[in-house]
Amino acid sequence: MSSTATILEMTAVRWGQEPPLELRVGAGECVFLRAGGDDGRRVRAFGDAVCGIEPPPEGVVRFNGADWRELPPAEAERRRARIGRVFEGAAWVSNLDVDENVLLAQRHHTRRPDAELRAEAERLARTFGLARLPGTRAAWTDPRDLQRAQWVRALLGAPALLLLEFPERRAAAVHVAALAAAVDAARARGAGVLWITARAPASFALSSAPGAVAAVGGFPETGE
Amino acid sequence: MNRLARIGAATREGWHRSLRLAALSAGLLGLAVRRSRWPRTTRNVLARQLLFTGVFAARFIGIVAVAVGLTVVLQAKVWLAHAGQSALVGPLLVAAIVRELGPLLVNFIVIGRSGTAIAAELASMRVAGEVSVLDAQGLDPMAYLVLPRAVGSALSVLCLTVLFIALSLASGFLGGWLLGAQMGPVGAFLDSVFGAMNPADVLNLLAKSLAPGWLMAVICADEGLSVRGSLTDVPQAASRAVTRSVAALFIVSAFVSILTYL
Repeated sequence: MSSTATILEMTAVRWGQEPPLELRVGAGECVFLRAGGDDGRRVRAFGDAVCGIEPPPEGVVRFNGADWRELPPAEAERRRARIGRVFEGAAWVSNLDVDENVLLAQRHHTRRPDAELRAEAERLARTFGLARLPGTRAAWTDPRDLQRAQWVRALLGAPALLLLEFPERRAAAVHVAALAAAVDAARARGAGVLWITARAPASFALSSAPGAVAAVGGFPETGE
Repeated sequence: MNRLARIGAATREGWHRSLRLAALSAGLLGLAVRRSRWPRTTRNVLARQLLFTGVFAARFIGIVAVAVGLTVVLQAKVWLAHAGQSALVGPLLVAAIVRELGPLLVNFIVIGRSGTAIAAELASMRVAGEVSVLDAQGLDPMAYLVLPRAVGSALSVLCLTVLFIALSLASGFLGGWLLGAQMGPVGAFLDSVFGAMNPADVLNLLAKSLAPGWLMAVICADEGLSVRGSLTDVPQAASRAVTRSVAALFIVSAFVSILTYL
């Protein structure tokens, strides 16, 4: 497990009085973090720390070998574009339609043609049981469709790290199984996965190869 | 002592805000000239801003321009004719409409129409956590949200000011002609207007439309993105943004006039 290239590494990361968190996600690995159903705000803060938006009070977070705090802003933005994230809580820009939201980061960071991006997104959407990407504002879209659209956005463009914050919420079992298969496919091409969930990791029936599936203790306190 | 402290605190606060505005504007200008900061997503936001601030406002600006043209041009023409100074109509119109009224009124309208919208929209996005959603996807909020709004507002104000001046002069002439005032031939009217203009007027027009338009967007975006509380803070941010934008407009206009004509 430790022989694979390290994608995410958290060293002595601590919020408040909790014990320090040591965490490593290698290429092809999936690490589960168990969190309570009411840990939403802490999960969000944890996700922001993983993405280098809000550094933790103590400890170091490295993504692809670089400490977020030492990166110039433009380089940090480029690296964040390699993280596919399913957000806990607010996830959409309200003045864009859902499909525009899904394509936004890829359109911003890459020069891939719009038609190609949309085709990939629509293919992923069908994988998750959506007939097509919702072309409406998030406020007017079914929350179950929104959650699956989040999965599409997270997986679009072959990210190096998948940061999944309660992705199974508001989703049917059959669709969660499709997500697990997509996560396995992402791992097979070398992506690392950090999956935060309130459920038992075994319930997602992820493939154990090529990387191991590890369960990491309880969710850290973020001092809120 | 308390009164002195209050005066000092207010002065320091004003100074701090001015420095922050200058730093933000300079930083955004630095971003604006970098091609890498204009990906298609940012260009889309710019296009939307031009549409909202420029195109959608053109009709209302046109109505105001016609009204101003009718009153100012007619009054100038009538009173100068009474005074036997009809030859001064060109310089007077240039001084009143091209140098001062045009840029000032257009900026006022844009502040009321687009400035409040920018402040309220960005404040709502901040409160709803949407700005951090952008940040998490590697989209710099300054480059994606503020830069295209500033460029779009500045360009819109410039275009709307030119439209305003053209329409007010045209409506003034046509109105005078229809009401039987001694307007003379259109060629002579245009000659007197363009003859009264000099290169400094062009610079004055550019400065008085581009700079306040830019500052308005930066101030409103700054106020919007500074909101940290709840949705009830959004109207207050919009109100502060308008007050500061109007103050910046008068300061810039006076400063440019002094630099250009003294």
